[in-house]
Amino acid sequence: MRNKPIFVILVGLALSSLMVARIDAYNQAYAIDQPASDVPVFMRFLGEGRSIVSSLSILQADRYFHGGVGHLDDEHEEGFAIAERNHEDCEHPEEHVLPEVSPFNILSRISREVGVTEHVHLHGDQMKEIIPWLYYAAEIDPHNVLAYTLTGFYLCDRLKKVDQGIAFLREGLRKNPDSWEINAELGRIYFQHVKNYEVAVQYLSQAWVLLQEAPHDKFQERYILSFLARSYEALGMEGDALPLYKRLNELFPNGVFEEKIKQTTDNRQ
Amino acid sequence: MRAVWAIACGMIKELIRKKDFYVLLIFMLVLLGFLSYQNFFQIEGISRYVRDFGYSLLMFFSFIIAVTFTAKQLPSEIEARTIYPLLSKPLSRHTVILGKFCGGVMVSVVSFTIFYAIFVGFYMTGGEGKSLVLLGQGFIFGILFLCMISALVMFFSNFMTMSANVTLTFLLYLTIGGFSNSLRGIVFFSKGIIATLYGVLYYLLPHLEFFDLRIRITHAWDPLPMWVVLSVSGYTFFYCLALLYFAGYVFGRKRF
Repeated sequence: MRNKPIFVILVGLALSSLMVARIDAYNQAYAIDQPASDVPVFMRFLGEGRSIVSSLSILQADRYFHGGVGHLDDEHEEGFAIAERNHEDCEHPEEHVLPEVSPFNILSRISREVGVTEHVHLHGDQMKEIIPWLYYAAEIDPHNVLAYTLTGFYLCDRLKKVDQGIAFLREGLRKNPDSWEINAELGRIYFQHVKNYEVAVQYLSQAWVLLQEAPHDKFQERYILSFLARSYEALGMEGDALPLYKRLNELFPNGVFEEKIKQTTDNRQ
Repeated sequence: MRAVWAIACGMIKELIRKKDFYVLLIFMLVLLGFLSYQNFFQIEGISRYVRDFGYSLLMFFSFIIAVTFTAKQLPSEIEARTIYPLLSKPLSRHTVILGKFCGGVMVSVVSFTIFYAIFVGFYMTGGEGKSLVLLGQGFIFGILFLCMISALVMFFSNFMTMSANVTLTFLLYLTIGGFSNSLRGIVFFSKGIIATLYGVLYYLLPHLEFFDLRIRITHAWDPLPMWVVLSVSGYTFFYCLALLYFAGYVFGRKRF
C-alpha cells in the first residue's frame, strides 16, 4: 500500500486524459459554427459581451460623427445619425436645448462652458475619423452586420475607397452569409459605384431572397427592389424589372413608380 | 516652507525608486505607438482616436500615480511608526498634511508632465486642428485635477485605510465622470425635497468633470474662455484649501 498515492495519481491522470479527449471533441464541434480565428484573442474573454462592446464602438463612431458630442434621441430619425444616408440634408438644432441657469450659479455655468453642446456633423475628409471605431466594432463582433454595412457605406460613398469597401463587405458576407443587409449593400455599391450591373443583380437577388425569410418592413423591401429593378433596366432586361416596379407601386402607391412602370412598358414595346 | 519641501522631495525620490511609473510610461508608449501605426483601409491622417486614447491614458495614469502615492503617505508612516520622529519635530499637524499633499502633487505632476510630453509628441505628428492654446489649457487643467485628487485622498487618509481610500477615490472618479451630467439634469429638472438633496450633493461633490478637456482636444474644438480657466483654478484652490484644512484639523485631534 506504500504505492497508493502514486496509484491514485495515475488513475486520475488516465481519467483526465479521457475527459480531455471528450472536451477537445466538443470544442472542435463548437468551433465549426463559431470559428475562433474570427475574433481577436484579447476579445475572446468577453464572451457574448462582445456584442455590447461592438455596439458601444458604433455609438462611439456616432459621437465622433458629432464632434465628440452625444446627440439627443429626437435629433435624428434613426438611433445613430451615422446610419442615416442623407444626414447632410437633415435639419437639427444648432445647440442642445438646456435649461436657463442663473448667472450667479457659477458651477453650472462652468460645467456648461467646459462641456461642448453644439450640434455639428463631420464633413468631407473628416469622415475618416469614424472609421477606426466602425472597424473595431466589426473586429470585436464579426456578427455585427451594421458595422459592416456602415463601414462599406462610408468607405465607398464618403471616402471614395470603393475597392476597400467591397473587400470589407465581402469579408463581412463570409462571416454572415445569411445577411440580406450586406448582400444589399454590396449590390448597391456594384450598381452605383462599379456600374457592374450583373454582379449587382446577383447580390441584390440574393438579398431579396434572404429578406423574405427575415422580418422586415416595406422600406427595406423598397431599398432592395429599387436597386434591383434599376440594375435589370441597365442590363436591358425590362421584362424582369417590370414586376419589381409593380411590387414597389403596391408598397408605395404615390405615383413615382407608376411613371417607371409606364416607361418600362414603353421601352419593352 | 522648508519642511514642506523636504517632505515633498522624499516623495519624488520614492517615485524614482518605484517601478510603477516606468511600467505605466512603457505601457503608454507601446499602446500609442501601436495605435498610431494602425492602418485602416489605407486611409492616411486618422488622428482623433489616437488623441482620444492618448489623453484618456495620460489622465488615468497620472490619476493612478496621484492616488496610490498620496494614499499611502499617512497610513504607511503610522504603520511603520515613523510618524513619531516626524511629529516630534517642531512642525504643526497642518504642515505635515500640507507637506504630504505637496509631495503627492509634485510626484503626480512630474509623471503627468512626462506623460503629457509624450502625448504632445503624438498630437503634433498628425491630424488637423492643432491648437497650442488648447494644449496649454489641457496641461493647466491636468495639474489642477491632480491637486484636487491629491487633496481628496489626503482628506480621506484620516478616516480610512489605504486600500479603502484608493477604492473610494476610484469610485468617486468613475461616478463623477460618468454621472455628473445626469446629476446636474436631476437638480435642474426636479422639484421639492429631491431637488434640494441632489442640489446639496451636486455642490458638495468635487466637480472632476471640469478638468476633462478630452473632447475639446480630440475633436479640435475652440479653447476655453479665460474666465473659465480662472474660475476652475479658483474653484480648485478653495476646494483643496477646505479639504486640507479639515484634513489637518482631524489629523490634529488624533492621538498616537
